[in-house]
This record gives sequence, C-alpha cells and structure tokens, in this order.
Amino acid sequence: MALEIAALFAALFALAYLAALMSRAAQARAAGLPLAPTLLVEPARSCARLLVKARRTTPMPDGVLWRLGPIVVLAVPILAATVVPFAPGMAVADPGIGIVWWTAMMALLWVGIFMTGFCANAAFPLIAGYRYAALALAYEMPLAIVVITVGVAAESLQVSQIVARQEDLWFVVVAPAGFAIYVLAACAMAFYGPFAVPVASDLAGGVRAELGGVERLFLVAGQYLVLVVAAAFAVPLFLGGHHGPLLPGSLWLALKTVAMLALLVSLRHLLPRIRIDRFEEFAWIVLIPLSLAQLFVVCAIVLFVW
Amino acid sequence: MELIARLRGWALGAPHVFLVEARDGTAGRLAAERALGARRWPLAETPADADILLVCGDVTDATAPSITRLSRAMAEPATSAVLGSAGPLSFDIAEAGEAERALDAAAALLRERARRPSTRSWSPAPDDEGEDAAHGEHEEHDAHREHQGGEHEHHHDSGEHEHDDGHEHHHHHGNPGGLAMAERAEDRDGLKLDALQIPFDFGLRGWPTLVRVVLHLQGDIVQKACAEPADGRGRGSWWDRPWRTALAGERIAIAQAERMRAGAHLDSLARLLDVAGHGDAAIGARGLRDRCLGREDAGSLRADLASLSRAIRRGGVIERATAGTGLLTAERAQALRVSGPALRAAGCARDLRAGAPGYGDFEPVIATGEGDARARLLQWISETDSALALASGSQAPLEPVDGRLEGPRGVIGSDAPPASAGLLAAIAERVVGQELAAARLTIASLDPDGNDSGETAHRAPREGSASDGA
Repeated sequence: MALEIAALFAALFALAYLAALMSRAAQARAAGLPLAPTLLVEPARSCARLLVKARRTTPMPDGVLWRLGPIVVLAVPILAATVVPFAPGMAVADPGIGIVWWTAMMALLWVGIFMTGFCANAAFPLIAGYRYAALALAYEMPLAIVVITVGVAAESLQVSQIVARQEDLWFVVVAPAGFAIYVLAACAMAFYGPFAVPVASDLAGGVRAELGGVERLFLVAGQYLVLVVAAAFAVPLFLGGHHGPLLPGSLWLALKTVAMLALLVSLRHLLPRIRIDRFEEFAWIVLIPLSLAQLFVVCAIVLFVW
Repeated sequence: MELIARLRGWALGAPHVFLVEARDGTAGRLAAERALGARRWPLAETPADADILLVCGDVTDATAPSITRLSRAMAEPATSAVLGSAGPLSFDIAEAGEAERALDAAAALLRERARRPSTRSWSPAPDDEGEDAAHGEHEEHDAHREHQGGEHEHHHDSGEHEHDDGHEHHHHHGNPGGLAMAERAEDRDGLKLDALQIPFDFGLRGWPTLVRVVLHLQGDIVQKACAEPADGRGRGSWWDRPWRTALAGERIAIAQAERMRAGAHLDSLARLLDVAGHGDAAIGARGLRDRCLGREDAGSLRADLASLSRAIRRGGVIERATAGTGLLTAERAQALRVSGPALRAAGCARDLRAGAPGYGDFEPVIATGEGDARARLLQWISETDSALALASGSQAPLEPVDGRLEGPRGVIGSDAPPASAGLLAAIAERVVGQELAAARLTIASLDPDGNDSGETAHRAPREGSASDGA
C-alpha cells in the first residue's frame, strides 16, 4: 500500500513537472526564443522562488477558509488519483464505484477555488470566484453525462473493469463526441488554457491576485496536478488503459498519458481564454444535448450490438 | 547555511517583474520589455507575485501614492527600479538608469535580500492607506443578497474614496478593523447594493498608459465612470512624435512615420490581447512591434502580421468575446470628438491621409465598421497592414493638411483637441452598464494614451436605461 502511494506521488509530480516543461517550451517558441537547456530547471526554480517569498494577506480576510482554499486545490487531485491506474492493473485503490469517486473528488475543487476567491476580502478574487462558479456550471453536466456513458459502455463503474472491457476496442471509437467533451472538460476542471477563467489576466490573476508565497505555490501546483489527473483519467476511460498492440502495457500507459497531457497543454497555446458568459450558452445548448445523444448511441450499441 | 543562502539566491534568479509606465515612460517601457524578453524574465500579473517593480518614466506627485502602494503590495524579498526620475518616491530604489543597468542592479539587490531570510512577515498597513488601491483589495461585496440586510461585514477604506453623494459615512455596524463600512446605493433595478468606488490606474496588466478610470461598481456592474489622465496635462504621446515634429516644420519621411503608426497599433493590440487572454499572441504582437520600429524590411513584417492575425482569430474565440462589446457608433464618436481608428471602426471613413500629398491614392481602411471592440481590434490589424504597405513606399515627406496630421490615435494638430481626450470621454460613456470583463475589453479596445490629453476629467452619470450592455 505504501509503495503504491509512493509510486502514485512520484508519477503525479513527474507528470506535473513534464506539463510545466511543455508549457514553457511552447511559450518560448511563441516568443521566438530558442529552447535553452536551462528551461529544464525552470519549473523547479519557480517552486523554489515561491517558497522563498513571504506569505501575504489582505485586510481582514476570512482567515481559515482563505488559507484552506489552496490546500484543498492541492489535495483534491491526489485523492482523485487514487483510483487512476499508474501501472498496468495497479492503482492505489480499485473500489466498485471508481469513476463516481473520481467525479466526486474533482467536484470538491469547486469548494477550494471558490473559497480562495470569496474569502480573500478583495474585489478581483471575489469576481473571479463567481466567474469560476459559472464555469463549473458549464462543464460539470456534460462531463458527468460523458462519465456515465463510459460506465454504460463498460457495464461497470469500476476502473479496472472499464480497462478490461477495452481490450479489443477503445471507447474513444465508440464515443468520440464523449472524448471531445472530456478533453474540454479536463481543461475546464483544471481552469487551464482557454478555461483559465478564475485566474484571468484581466483580473490581475483572479483568485491568485492576493496570494503570495506558499499559498500561491499550492494553487499553481494544484492546478497542474488537476490537469495531470484529468489527463491520466482519460486513459482508462477512453484510450484503453494499458492495452495496445506490440508494446508492453506500461509503455502504452505512459505514452497515452503523455500524449493526452500534450494535447491539453497545446490547447493553452492554441486558443485564447474564453469569456464565460458567452461560453455558458454554448455549454448548455450544445454540449449537454450532444453528450446526451452520445449516451443514447452508446446505450443502443450496448443493448443491440454487444 | 551557505548552501541554503545560495539556493535562495538561485531561486530568485529569474525574477518576476511588474512594469509600471509613468509619465513619458513609453520608450523606457519598450526597452524594458525587450530586455525582459531577452532574459526570459516573466512579467508579473499582479504586484503580489512580483519581485521587481520597474517604473518606467518620471514619477510625479500625482502618481507617487499609487506607485508607493504597489511597492508595498509586493511580498518580500522584492526590490524596485526606476527608468527615469524617481521624483517623490521614497522607497528603496536600485539606481535609476537604462533598462539593462537597472535590471542588473535590481537583480543583484534582490539576490542579496533573498539570501537572508526576512524576519518580518508581510502585513497590509491599514492606517497609512497602504492598501493597493489599484487592486481594490479592501472591499468585499455580496451583490444580490445584500438587500436583505445581510450579516456579512464590509470593509471599506474611507480614506480612499470620495463620497460625493451626500450619504452619511458611518453605519450602525461600526468600524471593523478600523475600516468603514461600504455605502449602499440604489441600482437600476431598485435594489440597494453595495456601492464601491475602485480606481484603476497602475496595478493591472494591459491597462492603457497613464490613464486613471474610477469605476463606481455595484456588484460587478459599472454604474458610473470617470476617466482622466493619471498625471495631469501630458507632454504628448511618444507614438505621436513623428507627426508633432513634422508639424513643427522638420522633414519626416512618410515611410518612417508609418512604421511608427504600425508600432503604435501593435502596442495597443498587445494590450487588448493581454486583457482578452491571448498571452502568446500578445508576446508575438510586442515582438512584431519592436521589429516595426527597427529597420527590417516591411514585406516580411507584413507576412508575420498575417500569421499573427490568423493566430488571433483562430477558433473565433477573441472575436466572440469582443463582438457587441463597447459599441461606439459613428454619431456618438463624432459627438465625442473621437477620430482615428476608433472612428473608422465605427464605419466613418475619415482619414486625413486620403488625398494628402505624398500618399498617392490612399483610401481609408475600414475593417468591419460595426463600432464594437471586435471592429476596433480588426481595424488595428488592417491599419497596421496598410501602414506597413506604405512604409515600403516612397520617401516623400509628411505635409500637414490645414495644419493637421493623422496620428495613430487620431488627428494631431495645434488647434485640434488631443485625440486621447475623445477616447477618454468615450470610455466614460460606454462602460456604464457593463460588467467588469466587458468594461476592461472596452477600455483596452479604445486604448487612450494619458500622455496625450488635457486635464479635463470625463465622467458619465448613470443613465436611466441600460446601455449596450455586455
């Protein structure tokens, strides 16, 4: 058990570091600068910098809850990752309700980010917190329906069963619209790239505006961990887990996770940030019916074809 | 111990820099942005995350309080540097000087500070107005539940706000933490919401140069706005120099002036992209701006502008975010004495370059003419393209038409009002009724230059009916 937890932590932090590296490389390319080897230590240097900086406060914030927010954002993805397989057939836990656990844990993010925004007693974090509430409303329904779709396709809520069911056919083939919605929802969960609404640049960093030092590090690291866990969970859900021709399972698992992570990081550098009041309509009028239609198609396949 | 000190020094080897542009600071800011880009030091999005406060330009009595507040908002270890004159600034400054020297000095000082752990923890200073007014970190508001007379406390620094509405200053709830309670005021639906007055001047990325906008917010809807230059009567925008020099009688080549125009539009575009959330495109726009101001061949610049434009418009996200926002019709623009790209984006094809000597058969460029922020964004891109096309043309000199010339923000002339004055008036009028995101997009799409206007403040009273909205 302890070994599995240690392996999970190592995998999570290695992937988060890799995601940070990919993002910096893309930024350097955008600025037209060459990729220097010093880029490799830059994420570590940023972390060290935030550890050296002093913590900040605002006049009379809601003390406990404001400090708790970033800790929640850091802890929640680790809890959710306990059901994600980090090696073929190995996960820290494999409960019968695996995907429900994951969705529930990721939903706790809402609490963490909203607390960080609401309890700061400052204008920009507050406004960003409310914008995040709008973003959460936009992505959660389609995501929940898509996760249910995968459960229906596998006829089980257990992650190991879902992976076993994809031995011959990956679910991305069965539910492509579901996969597309999952990619968008993964970015939205991690408030990353086009969905960086609560940390928006027009609000001086949104919920991060008044954070300094260790709390800021928790929030930034937590954001990357959420991104990694969301990317990693796409592999057992849609990409067949460790199954694949020719190569060994562990290599396939690593390749698929890194590919998914690269896809999410590239979204940040391809698309600008959305305006959530304009996106909300699209999410409710397009994404929810699309995910429902995908669910009905998968139900039909399960009932009549399989 | 030595290892820890060295690690701490290494940790701050790539400091985050918060750039502030004070009076006449444009040239310094351009140099600073170039130097920071070359060193790969990120620009901080907020002073809370900054290690170096870099002030470009001259600090005066009008701007010193805001800048001092920003420096206090930074967490230790942090230093400041000034490119220009520090004026009445009283905090620790690492040598006023050119960009590279100032950054090196600030970095050295920062490393020294970092090596020694600081013994005091950061705290805001409520008694000496130490809060960062540009961040508005002192208020909290609960928009639509408050008319119930809720239990929430409101924190409000009475020293920062001018109450000109005649309400009593102290509520029966008392003064928690030495801060006065927020006032309530009627909003357009008849609810009584917290009325907050937030001044925006220096604390935000992508904010127009040297402009102070005071927004009276209820919830996050703007009820009243007041837009003025942050530092009184300016000495003219840096971007307008070729045209002002030509008006003074010197011979300025059209090609040179048009390159400056391209640079000015790209600078405004970069700010709008920063606000709209397209950071990579903003970096690209700034790089292209620096190359426009150099001697590179205009043909390759146009090609790069085309690819930048494609990157901006990819996915239609920016266009959907700015469509319908900040609508300024041609009639209102003319009434407010707005000229230049903002007027042409509203559909009015007025350009002093059309028919001017040396410009040949130049036709005014109108991208879409709808008058919203999207139209102004596309107008900047189109006008940059046409300016670069002219820049590779003849070396004919600029000649004033009736003592006026068409500058980047509008008409420049000794008898013409400053172009940015009209833009400030347009801001004060158009942001009323918008929510904060739309207001920031409107302000960034109009992009006045506070160096280039008179002293008149422009305010717009709250109108009875909602205006164009978000």
